[in-house]
Parts: sequence; structure tokens; C-alpha cells
Amino acid sequence: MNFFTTNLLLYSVLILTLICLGMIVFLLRRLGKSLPRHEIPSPSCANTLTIINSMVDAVYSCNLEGIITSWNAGAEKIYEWPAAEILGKSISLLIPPEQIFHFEQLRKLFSEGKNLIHVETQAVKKTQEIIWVHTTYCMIRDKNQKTVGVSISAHDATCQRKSRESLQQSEEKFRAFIETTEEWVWEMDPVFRFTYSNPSVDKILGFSSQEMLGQEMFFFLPERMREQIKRNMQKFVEKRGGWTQQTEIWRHKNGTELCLESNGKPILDAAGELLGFRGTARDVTEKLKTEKVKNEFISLVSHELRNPLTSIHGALGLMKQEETIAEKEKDLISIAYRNSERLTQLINDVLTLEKLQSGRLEMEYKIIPLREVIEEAIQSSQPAAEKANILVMIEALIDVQIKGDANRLHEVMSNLLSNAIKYSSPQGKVFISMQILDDQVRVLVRDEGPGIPEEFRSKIFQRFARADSTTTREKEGTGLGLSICKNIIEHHGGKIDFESKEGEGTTFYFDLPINKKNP
Amino acid sequence: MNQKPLRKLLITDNDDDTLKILKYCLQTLKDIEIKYVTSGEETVKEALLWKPDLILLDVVMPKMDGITTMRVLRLLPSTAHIAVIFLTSRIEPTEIENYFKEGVLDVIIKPFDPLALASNIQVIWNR
Repeated sequence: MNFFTTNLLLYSVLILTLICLGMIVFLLRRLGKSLPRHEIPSPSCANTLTIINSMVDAVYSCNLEGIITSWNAGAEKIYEWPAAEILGKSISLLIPPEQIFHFEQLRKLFSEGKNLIHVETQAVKKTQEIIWVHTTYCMIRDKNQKTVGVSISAHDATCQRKSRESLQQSEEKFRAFIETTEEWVWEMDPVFRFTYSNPSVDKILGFSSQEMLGQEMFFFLPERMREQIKRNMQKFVEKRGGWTQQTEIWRHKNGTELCLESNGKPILDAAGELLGFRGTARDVTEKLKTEKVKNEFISLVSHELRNPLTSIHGALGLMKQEETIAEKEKDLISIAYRNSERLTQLINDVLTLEKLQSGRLEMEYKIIPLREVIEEAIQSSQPAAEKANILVMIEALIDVQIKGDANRLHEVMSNLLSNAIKYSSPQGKVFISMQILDDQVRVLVRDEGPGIPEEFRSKIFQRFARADSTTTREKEGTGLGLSICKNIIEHHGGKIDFESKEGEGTTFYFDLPINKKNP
Repeated sequence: MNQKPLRKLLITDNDDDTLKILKYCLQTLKDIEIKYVTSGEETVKEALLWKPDLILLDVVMPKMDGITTMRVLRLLPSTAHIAVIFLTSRIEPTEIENYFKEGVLDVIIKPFDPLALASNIQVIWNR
């Protein structure tokens, strides 16, 4: 072979190799393109495939026998079936058994000529977990318009469905509350016309929810009240404000009058414009009547008990001064006299406590110098301290102003001082001091008495609380004092507490908010 | 301080026992003439006829209570100036405040200290 022949052969082998390589590359590329997760019919356009595969939604297809013929990445994610496993399998794997009939219905719809069907239905994942999917079924036809299969796109709607269901459940729950509560729940527009009333209005006012709609609230008030209430309501409109525990007289459908206690809140839009009012009301007619009877009873008890006590107390007081009476009788009379005093205090305390707890004790809140109240209380307790041979020592008093009822705080201080004196041994000392703690002022009354027994500490502010020991039984008192103190301090927005060590003494203290406008 | 000495004291209480105790308690008041009546009507009558310096007047009484009696006294020119101390079993601070608004000299709460009553009245009068 000459040089020329050899070269030609080499060149021919090279060209053939290149052609073969080109063909392999071509075939590989073709193969690569048709290595899909799906086999969408007519994947003529690579772009379409790319788009389908990048979709979050499931896109798949099946033939008329229900055999899955294509499956995109979205489908893999939603149903958790890899394409390799699901392709060629029945679509019934994706449908809960009890819903197979849906698929039959779809088949029927398609046979009736429907092309596109949207449904929200349940589906089964590979894991057998049931999910909700928004599904669109579309017929696939061949060139001759013959139906050859169905393309399906599905969107996971489980979260939406769950939140919709929970919203619905919550709405149903609140609707049930509103429809069954005994309170009248209402809504009004800005000109006080009812736009909603729950069924309770029938029980309260005798009108049905429907009868209330569109009616002005003033229609349900006695004529004599209308103008005044109109003026009051107008203020709420101007201030865009609400009201709480407002008591008004309303008119029942049968003409009788009743007392309703209502709470209302304005409904404002995003721009702050008033859209109306929403609130509740309840019939307090009976409650007010009962309260009136109770008040009258308390007043009567107070008076009727005090009058005979005046005679008993007076008579005993005069008798025990008589010089002609023997020592033994004098002693007995003194016991009776002391106990008549105790009974008087008990009546006072019971009445005070009842009023405090029912909120009927009127407090006269004023800006007051607390130091003066403390000093006055110390002065008032001096006779008792001297009688018991106790020294009341002022450690530190601070000039501070608070908003409070001076008489009631005097009562608290006197009570704490009286206890400290009572439980101190003769020649003992009681210490008074004040401290500032941020925006609060603390008043402390410390004694060197026996201290409060551990087991009694949790009950100390309860009514009729007295440590059941011989020592404490000997001390006079009603067992209501500290309960009254606690109520008074809490009415002032403060708190009362104590620290005690058996055998060393007790410190009672109360904290009150300092008036912010303190000079 | 009241310059005029207390000479005539009228006591009103509808409860006989309380009235009796009051009599015993006030025995210690020297140089003072005391009259006792049991109703608001009698109080007004005695005020007009006997002209006391001071009336110790029970508040809760049937028919004419202490407040009404006091208002009647204030309306009559010859009794309008008579000082009144209320005697009451009502302990509500607001109620007591209202008594002061009616123009009473002071308020003594029932049950009172029988041994200190006479001196208390004298102190209030002299104040």
C-alpha cells in the first residue's frame, strides 16, 4: 500500500468513526429527550415538556381504561408516587375506594360530550394518606377527534380545605354560642337601627329577631327616656367610643318596662369611620329588685340590731361603774359589756365587708397625702397602745400623694395597728415605716409579737380567720378586720401582704399606686 | 367655741329603753335642764314652746324621722337657730355626710359609750 492508499483508508475510518459518533450523540440526545417522567402524548415541543415538569401542580394522563400514561414532577410531589412506579398502573390507586364512583360519573360526563370538568375531591397518596385536590379533567382526542384518554391537572387543596373547614367550624361554634346564649347579642348601624339580633331578644323584649331588624333602638325605650338616651348615644357616635354596664329602662312588646344592662363597642372601618355598634344586653330587672330588697334588709338589720345593743351596752356600761356592786358581779358585767362592744364591731364589720364585696361601698377617691392618713391613724391608736403598754415607733414617713379614700385607708391602718398592738407583749414595740417602690408606696407595720403560725398563714385574709390558739382567742376581734383591709386595698388598686417569723414578729404591709401627678 | 352655756337640752328617741339609758347617762350633766320626747312631732312642739339650746335627735323614727324633723325646725323662724346633734345607728359615711349637709352640729353613733356620752355632748356644744 502506498502512502496515498494508506491515508485514504485512515481518512475513511476517521470519517466513519465521526459519522458513528454523530449518530450515537444524536441517538443519545433523542433518548435523553424522551427519557421523561411522563409520556405526554405528542411531546412535540420540548418547551411544553419543560413547563409541565416544572409545574407545582400535578399533571398526568390516563387512557380510556384508566391506565396512567404520563406523570410529571408535580404529580410525584403531590401523590408521592415516582413516575417509574405509577406509569402503567390504574388511576384507581389515586382515588379513595368510596369515591371510585366519581370516576365513573366523569366517564359518563365525558361520554355526554363534556370536555372540561373541575372538581374538588379527595385523593390517596402512595402513603395512603388522604388529601384534598382541585382537579381539572380534560379529554384527549386524536387527529380524528376520537377520544383516546384524559389529561388531569391537580392542585393540592388540603391546607385550604382544612383552613376553610376550621373557619367554618369556628363560625358555626360562635354562631351556636350566639344563638343559644341568654344574653341579647345585637348589632346596630351608626344611626342606631338594628342590623342583627340573636333569638334571645324574643325572651327579653318579646320581639323576634326579624321584627328588630331595621328598627331604631329608641322605639324600644319608654317615650320619657328617649331624648336623654338619644343625647347619650350621640356622644358615643362623636367619640367613636363604647360603653360598659350601662343600665337603661326598655319597653317589652307587652308594654311592661324592664331594666337592661348593656355593653357596646363601636365598629370602625380601616379608615376609622364608624360603621355601627355591636354589643350585648341582659335583663337585670329581677337582679335590681333583689339588690334593693337586700339593701333594705341590711339597713334594717343594721338599725334593728344596733338599737337593742344601744340599750344593752348603755345599761351594762352604767352598771359596771356602780360602786355598790360586788366584785364578782362587776367582773361578770364587764364581760357582758366587752362582748356587747365586740358584737357592735362584728355588725359593723359584717356590713362593711358585705358592701365591699358586693361593690356597694361607696369610696370617695381624692388625691390625699398618705402620710397624714398614717399619722392620724397612729394618733387614734395611741390610747390602745398606752393601755397595753406598747410603744408605737415611727421609723420613716414619706410625703407622697395617692388617689384614695382617706377614711377607708385610715380604717386599714387602724386595723393593722390594732392587730400589732394586740399581739405584742407588754412593753413591746410596734414600728411604722413607708418605702417608695417604683410607682408604688409601701406602708409597713411591724410588731415583735409571737408571729403567725405557719399553718394559719394561707387563711389570714379570709373571713372570720383567727388562729385557733388560746393566745389568739384571748384577743378581742371579729376575724373580719384583715379581710376588710384586703378588700379596701384591692379597691384602691393595691395589694396587702405580710411576712412573719414565729417567735420574732410579723410585718404587715400594703402597696398603693402613687398619684402620677405628684408634685 | 360656743360662748353660750348649755342650759336646755331636748332628747328625742322613739325607743323607750334607749331613752331610759340616755336619762341615766346624762345625769352627770350639771346645771342643764333636760326634757325627753319620743317623736319628731313632739320635738317640733317642744322646740317651739320650750326653746331648747340643743336637741339630741334620733334619726330613724316612725312617721316623722330625724331628717324631716330637722328640716321643719329649720323652716320655722323661732326654731331655725336651734343646734341639733343626730343620734343614729346608720354608719354609712355617705349618709353621715348627708346629715352634715342638713346642718347638724355633729353625729353620735349608736351604740354610744354610756360613760362618755355626757362629756361628748358638752365637748360638741363647746366646740
